[in-house]
Amino acid sequence: MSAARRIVEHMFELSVLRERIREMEGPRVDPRLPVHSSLAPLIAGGLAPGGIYSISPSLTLALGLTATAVSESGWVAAVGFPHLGIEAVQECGVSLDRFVSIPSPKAHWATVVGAVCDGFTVVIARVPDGVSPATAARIAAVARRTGAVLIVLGEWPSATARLEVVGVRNLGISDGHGLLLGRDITVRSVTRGIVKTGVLPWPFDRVVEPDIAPVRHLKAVT
Amino acid sequence: MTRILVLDIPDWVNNFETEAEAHRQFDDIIRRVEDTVPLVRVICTGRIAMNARGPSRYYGSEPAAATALRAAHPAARIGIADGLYAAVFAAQAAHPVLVVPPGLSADFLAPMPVTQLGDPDMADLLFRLGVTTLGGFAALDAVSVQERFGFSGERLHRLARGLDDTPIVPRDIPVTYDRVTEFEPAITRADELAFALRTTADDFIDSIARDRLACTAVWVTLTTERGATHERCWAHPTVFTGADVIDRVRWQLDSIARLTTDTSTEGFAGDGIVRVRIAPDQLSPQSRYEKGIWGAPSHDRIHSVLSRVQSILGHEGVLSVTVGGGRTLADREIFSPWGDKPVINHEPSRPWPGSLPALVPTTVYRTGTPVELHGTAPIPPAEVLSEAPRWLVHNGRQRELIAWSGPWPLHERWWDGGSLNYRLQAVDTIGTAWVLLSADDTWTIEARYD
Repeated sequence: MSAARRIVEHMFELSVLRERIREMEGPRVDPRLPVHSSLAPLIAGGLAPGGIYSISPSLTLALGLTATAVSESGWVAAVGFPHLGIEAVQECGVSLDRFVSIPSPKAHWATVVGAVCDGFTVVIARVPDGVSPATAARIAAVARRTGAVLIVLGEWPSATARLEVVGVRNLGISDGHGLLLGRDITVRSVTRGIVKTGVLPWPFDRVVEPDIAPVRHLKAVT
Repeated sequence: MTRILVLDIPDWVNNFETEAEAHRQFDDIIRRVEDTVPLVRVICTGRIAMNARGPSRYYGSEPAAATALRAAHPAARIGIADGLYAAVFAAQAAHPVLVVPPGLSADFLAPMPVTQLGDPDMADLLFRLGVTTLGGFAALDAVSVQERFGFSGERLHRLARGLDDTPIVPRDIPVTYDRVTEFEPAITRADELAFALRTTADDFIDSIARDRLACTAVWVTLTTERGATHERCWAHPTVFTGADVIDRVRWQLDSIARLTTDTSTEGFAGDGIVRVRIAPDQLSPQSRYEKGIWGAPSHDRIHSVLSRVQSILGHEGVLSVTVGGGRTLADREIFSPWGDKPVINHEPSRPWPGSLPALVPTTVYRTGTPVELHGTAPIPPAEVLSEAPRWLVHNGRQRELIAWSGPWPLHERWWDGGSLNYRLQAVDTIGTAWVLLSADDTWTIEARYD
């Protein structure tokens, strides 16, 4: 190969590399990841990359936070759920090709969660009893660095937001007849002292049943 | 111009169940060819190339060499031409032997359509320029082609002009990437074995990499003191590294250990490993797996993370999932260790009468957790309609039920005396909904909406 051609080839390689660098250096405004419309107002519009969301032990709520964010791309890991319903994961729109389950990490919980935070978009994890504040801080630092969203079922020392299920309506089933057709889950969030509620339907594409207006008890005024 | 001979067996791969099997069988053919011609290169399974000069000198002429090599397989076709590119086409056009005389490769290639360049974008571009055959493309001025299409265009232009100078890099003779390590005394512990095999595994992968090949599946054969052998093929989603091979050996030893604690048949228990054989099952050209400097696709990152987790938790610690068919919820879930292909036993698309209709639950218990159902007294499954269920007793905890529905019968294999089971839905006071399934005389939790 002639020297001139080699130079041209190198210049071409350089331009490709510059392009890559530009892509990597691009403005790092990580937009919030979208969530189900009923939950968006509760967590300031969406999931913050690197955020940790502590929720009550409801897999429906965990999936509600996850599904929209990864519907197009991004990987999901579920850590510590040996009984997670796979059909439910598929049903809510998470592609099983981009989903892995690590059912029982046992003693390696912190290491495993820390590892999957590197590369996965959303990590759903059940918090074992007694996560020390030091471990929690370490995992939080990993999540912040990698931009993974961590959804933990259980208590977490310094969560970005806390969501809890405060009420459930099971529709279609009554005493001895019917069939469970849907569930409306009332979720409450407390962020910096501000309390908000929303109703998450299951399946997620269902319309929430309108609430029957609460009965007002009138009191006689004297 | 180097004279190249290509031996091609049409549809070779399609004659076999798996690609691995096709490759293994083809290996025999390669061996047979190597008996007469020592330096051959495998282009793909079913097609090999070699420098024509050696065999034609040995057999006296090119046609004689071609005829002699046809003995390797009855369906084999032989093409000889200038350069590999023309020789491959000659083999494809051969009945069963075609020798393109020296210097005439360009003429031979001229009537072929430009789609044969193997570059759809380029072919499309040429079509729009009104160039439809390789001859037309070859007639273009080389300098203009380079200016207009760059280096890749220039390379294709050389192919079209019959000037392919791809060298035939012969495979080693004989190709034995297999590594056999023997231990005296025998090794029983997985970590000890892993340590002992570290250099061997790296050496194994390096020797493959030296031939510009990448290993995507390996056979690990463990032989114990008592002479029992345990062989398994491990596939890899991308490419094996030395550490990956070690992991597979360790997992295999673990699985043997587990096997023998479960069943005490002919055992490995307390039986050390005296011999380990590592052999490649599938090799692919390395170029397919080379990464850019930073441009590693995200799948690679996911894979390296999960491999790390697997090295901590074991092969079965990380699971891929798919949905299959079946009547019970647990039957429909298919788990396979990360990196393995899932085994789907039941077709999901078939109708599964008796499967849970409508709403899918978020928690599914694969091993039924026994519970009790109470009204004023415990209600066994057979008497479910005798009284409305009021309490669910699970792990000593009582949950009051506010709604329930069912039971629905669930026949499994009724044609050969299978059992008739019932399914029931129930909702407790905090709003958790349960799916119960009867198993003979007890209720178990099949699933939960939580």
